[in-house]
Amino acid sequence: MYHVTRMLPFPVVIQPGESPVKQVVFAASKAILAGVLRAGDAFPSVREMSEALKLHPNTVQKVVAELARDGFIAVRPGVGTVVTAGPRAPDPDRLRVLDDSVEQLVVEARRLGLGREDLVSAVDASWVAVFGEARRTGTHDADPRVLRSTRRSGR
Amino acid sequence: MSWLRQVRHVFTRDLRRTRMALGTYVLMLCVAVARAVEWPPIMRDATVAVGVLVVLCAAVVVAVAVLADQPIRADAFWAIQPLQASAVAASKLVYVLLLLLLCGVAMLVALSFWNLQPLDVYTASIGLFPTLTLLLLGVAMIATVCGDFTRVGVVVAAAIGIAFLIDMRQPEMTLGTYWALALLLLLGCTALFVQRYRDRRSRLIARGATLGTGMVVMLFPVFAARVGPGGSNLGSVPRHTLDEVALSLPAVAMPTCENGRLIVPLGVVAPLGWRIGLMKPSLDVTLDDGGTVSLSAPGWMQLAGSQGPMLPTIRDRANVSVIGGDGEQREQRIQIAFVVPAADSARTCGRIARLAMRLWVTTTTGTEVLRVPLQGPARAAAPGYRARVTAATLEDATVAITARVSMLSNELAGQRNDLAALDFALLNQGRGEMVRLSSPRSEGGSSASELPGLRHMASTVDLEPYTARKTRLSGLQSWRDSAVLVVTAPVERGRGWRQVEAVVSR
Amino acid sequence: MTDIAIEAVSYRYRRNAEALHDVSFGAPSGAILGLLGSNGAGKTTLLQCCAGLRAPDSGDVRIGGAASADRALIVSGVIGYVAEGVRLPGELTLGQLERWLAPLHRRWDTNLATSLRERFGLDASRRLATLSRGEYMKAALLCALAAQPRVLLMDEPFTGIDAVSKDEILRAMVASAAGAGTTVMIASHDIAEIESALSHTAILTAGRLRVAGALEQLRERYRRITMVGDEDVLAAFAREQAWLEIQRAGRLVSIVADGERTPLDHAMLHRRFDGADSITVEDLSLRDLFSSLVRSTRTAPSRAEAA
Repeated sequence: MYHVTRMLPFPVVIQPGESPVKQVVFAASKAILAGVLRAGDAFPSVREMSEALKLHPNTVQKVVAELARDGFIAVRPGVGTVVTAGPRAPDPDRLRVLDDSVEQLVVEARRLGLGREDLVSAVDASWVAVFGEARRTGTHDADPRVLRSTRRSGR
Repeated sequence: MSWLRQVRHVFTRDLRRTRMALGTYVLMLCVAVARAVEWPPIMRDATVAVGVLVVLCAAVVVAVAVLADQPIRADAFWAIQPLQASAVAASKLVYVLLLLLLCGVAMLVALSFWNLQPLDVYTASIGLFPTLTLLLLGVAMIATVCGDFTRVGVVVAAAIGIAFLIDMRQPEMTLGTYWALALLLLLGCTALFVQRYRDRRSRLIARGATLGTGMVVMLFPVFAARVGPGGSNLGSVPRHTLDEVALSLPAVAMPTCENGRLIVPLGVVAPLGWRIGLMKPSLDVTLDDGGTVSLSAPGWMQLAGSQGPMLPTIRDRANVSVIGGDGEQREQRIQIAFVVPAADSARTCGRIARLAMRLWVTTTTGTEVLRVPLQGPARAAAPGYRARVTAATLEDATVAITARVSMLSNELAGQRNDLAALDFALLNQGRGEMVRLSSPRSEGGSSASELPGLRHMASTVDLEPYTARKTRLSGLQSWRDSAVLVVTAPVERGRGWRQVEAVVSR
Repeated sequence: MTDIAIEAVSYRYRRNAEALHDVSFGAPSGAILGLLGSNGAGKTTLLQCCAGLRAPDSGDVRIGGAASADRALIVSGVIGYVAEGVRLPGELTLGQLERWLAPLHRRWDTNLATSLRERFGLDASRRLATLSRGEYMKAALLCALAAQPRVLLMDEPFTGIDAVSKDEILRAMVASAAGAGTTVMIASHDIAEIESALSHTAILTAGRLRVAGALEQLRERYRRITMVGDEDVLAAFAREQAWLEIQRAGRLVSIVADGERTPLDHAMLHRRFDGADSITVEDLSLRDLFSSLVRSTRTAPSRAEAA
């Protein structure tokens, strides 16, 4: 009796408060990097994402623009949106985007009484947990078997 | 959607939505028509006031239709649809028009049954419009500002209550004036109704003004229905003939007070065939100290028992008990009861008083309406009249006819005929003789306004020879063979007014 | 172009205090604007003025440049309006109502109506008067959405609606924005649920506009700063006049800050309040921003802060 809503091919839950653009970009990127979405797969259209996530289409446009800019997806006229090979080579400018987050991380670690090495280990562990062992080197090989949730309780 | 289509769209929905109430209205109309055409027989003597129910039903239907798309409610459904306000208002007016048309059709059916003249049909349907339209428009106006059906009912009931309290004494209105005023009100009301939909103003002043207009408009037909005899298409009675009407106060001149009322007996001498009525009689009592007390009696009253003349042709040929014709005078006596305020009772009774009043006079001539045979199919019909002889006794010492007479009167055509004003006579066509008949009592009288503007009256009359002394019919057998009952009705020819005064003294 | 432009709208109910005082803001074509405010803040009045159902005492509302007064834009089919208290013709069934409405609306989409009816779980053959409150509201929304107006005004559309249907309504709303470019203005108390669907917002308190603008920009402008520290640092922190709202407890203080009045640069804050143990700058949810604005009205005179 109820209309079957099409689910998106990657897991994403929108929490109020944080920018939805950031949340969706994060979820989509994570899915692509973790191999849930492979190169060549169809990526949902703006309309599909808008309806599935109850997001304003402009918001979704921004998500698509950002993902395209980062090289995760490409919009092909006549074909649609597809997942592409992956992010480009590391770019020092891109690092600046993380400045805020890194700073917060550093301060928080210090506050908790952790040292620099502890922080680096924590980062390593998280990296492995999300992307699997092969990702340590920064390559973009898919290994869906090792995709695990990084959400810790109380976060 | 074009404006016209919008109107049709809303109208058809209203039809569907109110089909129960509309069905009841049509049913009421059918009952009214059945009453007016006296068929089936069971309808003949029914005493339900169908006319009132018809109007009530129409009012309910209109209220329901307007309330469903009420203009001033903030949550009205029509307001958030692409419907022009004027179109919605127009559809309600079309609905009112439909109710009128249905009533008009019913009226035409009734009138055609009675073989009434085309002019009567015309005037009846024009009479319908001001009365019923204004009533329904008034209800519609009230429904635009009242929140729900109960409130509309309360306001309408209040308006009806006010109608009963309206003083009967008001200036005479001719039919022409009535129609002119009615049309003016009609146009004004329609414009205001449409405007109510367009501006949807719900502030107190606007609501109050609309409510007031609705009540006034509703009351107008009621108000006008109590108009004294008007009639623009009658001749007027010349001044000098009016002067012939003499007022006299008979020997019992001392005004007597009984229970707060001052009874003044009055005698009127006037030519036969004239109907006399009094308008606004007032009595000024001069007190010993020089002051005066003013008393009044209700609006207008018709002198009872005026008798019309018989047809001259018949009169010529009759040699038995004919009463008068043109030139002959009659004296009538009436009593006017003035209301005395309790405080003035002791001071006023028995004093010198001056009586002033306005007299209206209508001259009439008799027209033969029906000739009903006494045997065989003892019935006859004429435009607006029907009669049936149910019993006839023609003996040496006894002459008695029982007949059932009914008529359909067009109230607004200016004719104010009444069953009581009919005259009866027994005519021996073979011998050319006539006996005037009168009815000391009548039974089973009913008079009801079945449809707006049409009054249906029926009564059973027991007729006996007019004169007190016994009438002997010569040639009884010829009477039994060839007598017919002649029914004549007085036809108004002229009207006039006169102010009269008289001094009532010890 | 179906942008909404509200210019200096004021409205007073008889002799009561003004329901709306000099409210001005706008929404571009295709926006979904959330109109937020406490009960009695003037949302309903403003929506009615926008729809043309009520005439403002001063100011005007223009949609796509055309004046909305006297129901002009409802009659021309530009505006669709649905409110919590709308009265549907009770004697009709939903199916009959749809058939009656279809010819009135130029862009009525029968398939959309049918689809929505199924998604809302409504029965087309039941008389509207027999529906429960939530079903009634869904029926009203169905009619508004199926008419596909260019501008959709919704006043508390989620009242009495179950969670699944709320989702469907939001999806339909967003789909119409995505597909037909419908501009939507929605007044709702369910701020958290609709936040992600909004592109713009306007917040009213006591008939006055506090904040209005694109959500992205507001998110960058209003932030929550949480500081942990000793009394003297906290006191210095609290003395700042530019905070929208301050809450203190023990060694913790939390403020809502307007980025246009105070720079919210992390490093800068650390330098200014270097005695603090920790300073965190976080995004504010729309719901929290709204709460802060409402609470700040109740304790201090309001300051108009339209974006």
